[in-house]
Amino acid sequence: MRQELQNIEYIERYLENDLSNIEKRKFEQHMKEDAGFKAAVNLQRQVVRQLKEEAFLLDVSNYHQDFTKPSPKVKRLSPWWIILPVLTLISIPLVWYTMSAPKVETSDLTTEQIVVPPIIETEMAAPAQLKAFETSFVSKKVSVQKGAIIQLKKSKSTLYIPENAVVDKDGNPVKGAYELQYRELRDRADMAFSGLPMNYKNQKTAEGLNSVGILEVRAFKNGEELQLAPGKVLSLDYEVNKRAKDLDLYHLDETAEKWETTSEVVDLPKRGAYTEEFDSIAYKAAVIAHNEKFKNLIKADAVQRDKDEFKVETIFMPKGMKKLEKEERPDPNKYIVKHYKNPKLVEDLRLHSFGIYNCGQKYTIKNQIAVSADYTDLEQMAIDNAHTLSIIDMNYNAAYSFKPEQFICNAKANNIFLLWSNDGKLYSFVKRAAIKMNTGDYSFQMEDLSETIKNTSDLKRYLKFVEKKTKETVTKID
Amino acid sequence: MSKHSNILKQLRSGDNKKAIAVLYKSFPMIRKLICSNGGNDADAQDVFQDALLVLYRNAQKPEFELTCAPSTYLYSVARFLWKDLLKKRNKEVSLEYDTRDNNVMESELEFYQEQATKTSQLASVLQELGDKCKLLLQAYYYKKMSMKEIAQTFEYSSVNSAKTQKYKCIERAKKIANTQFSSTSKL
Repeated sequence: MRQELQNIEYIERYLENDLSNIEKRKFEQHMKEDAGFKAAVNLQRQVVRQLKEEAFLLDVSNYHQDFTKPSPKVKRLSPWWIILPVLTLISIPLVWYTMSAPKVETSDLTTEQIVVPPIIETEMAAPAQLKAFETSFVSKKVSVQKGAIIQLKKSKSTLYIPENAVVDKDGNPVKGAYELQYRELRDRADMAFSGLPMNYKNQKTAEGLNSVGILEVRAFKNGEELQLAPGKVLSLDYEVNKRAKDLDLYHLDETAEKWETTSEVVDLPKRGAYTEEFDSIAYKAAVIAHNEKFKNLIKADAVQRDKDEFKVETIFMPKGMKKLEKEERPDPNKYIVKHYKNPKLVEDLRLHSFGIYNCGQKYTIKNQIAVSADYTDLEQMAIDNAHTLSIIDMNYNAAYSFKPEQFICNAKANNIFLLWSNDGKLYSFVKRAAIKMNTGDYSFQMEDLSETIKNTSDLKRYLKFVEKKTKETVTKID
Repeated sequence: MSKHSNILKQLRSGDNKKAIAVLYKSFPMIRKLICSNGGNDADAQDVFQDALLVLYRNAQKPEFELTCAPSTYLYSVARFLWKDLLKKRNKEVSLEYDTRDNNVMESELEFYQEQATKTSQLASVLQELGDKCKLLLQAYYYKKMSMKEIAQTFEYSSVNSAKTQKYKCIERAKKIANTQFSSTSKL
């Protein structure tokens, strides 16, 4: 559990009087010394109290309604008892029609096109070839008034955008339609050149996120970026790449270049979890079919009886027929349909702003080293126009971008260094775990892969290939 | 232990609905009090529910004990609250002296009124918290369900995971509260 959550648990134990005397004294001492801690304790106490009281008042007002409801008296049926149900029956198809008519814009109503605006701009414009590696955005027109429900393309995720969700940069409401852009980064090859940072600024140990999916979502009107209106949240049903424990949702603070936890609840449904629904239509049909069959049997029997002379055994239902009826009556239990939940779908993550969200586990970069680097190609020719370096640790589904001159990595990991030059060439260098690096200056002899790797799917194949086979050349400059 | 502790036990153990049903038996008496002193049915409902809240809030303190019957307690609190409300509405207070008043300390009620302002601020925090979190937290704090029951009801994969979610929800509520309070204090 994260430190913040452990603190909350600690405060809760204090509030619930669950600490030992020694712990309690320590806790109260801490409160005396640290005003911030004291404020946190008080806030938590207030939040819990408010939660309880709100629930209590809800119970009270529910009870009040029951209490003040006049006890039912026998009355003459007013004509409304007939008119109302009839009206209701008439209105059902109407309501059904209006409900099923599209209230919100769904994918087939929205115009869709592919646009490629790189979001985190590096100081220099990225080389044109690099764009082939940037995951492109899907763009949708959304009506401000109506909001939208968007089925994402790469995963079975759904994004719910409420009505009147956006304001411009000055906080003024926006009218008409706006453009919603999103992209999903599911694989490290997608992430390699998306400019994602590692958490290392202003902290001792660098941290990465082993990702099970990244979503970037933004809104624009006439080229100007929009913000989420105060009090509005986007809701996201997110399908993760794979099931994992201790998942958290992180939001990228783009000015600080840091992943911040959102304290969203990332809980996957149990394996095999389902909801049940009674298929009343199929059941009714089966009952009707059964009755029909049974009716015919009785008729047949009746005809038979008319013809026959009266006999004792014909008064009673023949044994075999009784049994048949019992066996054939449809069993309602058999008409319960199970809807299995998608085991990878996390429901209702709430996004409080636009930006980049990463669902994953935080890990610390072990054997952390800081490296100053220069690069040559295999012919020992210096690469002096390096643009972006992306580092992939083969143990994680993550890729982090650095300025090529300096970076941070795990000294003992299987790392792949991908380098883009300003003239659009892609170089690669693979460091096996067996080779231990140290903090210091290194020169990397890079392999030019521009001819073989031309887009993200080539890169995906390449990374898979490297995972099996690694090769390296490294020279330490002393 | 006080002989009136049954209702407190219920209010402390999450058996709130039962307690409310019992306490509501005092409502007609209080409605009569309010309606014969310048109030209407809606006032009676508000005042009675506030009185219930005072009792509930006090019941959450482990040291609190009822020294009189719950109905007497509610009556006294309601009387005090109504007097106070009439004062605020600038009406002359002509409530007759009632011996049942003595059972409630006025300081207790002042504390209640002080809390009322904080409460309205936090209400909007909880609104932003989202239903999923709110229901989970209320199941634990209000209904006093065990984490095991919660894990089952909310379909979490394990008790541990439900626990983590619970703490995350509190974390989120605190975060929202902090941002809201800091923005309102700026105004």
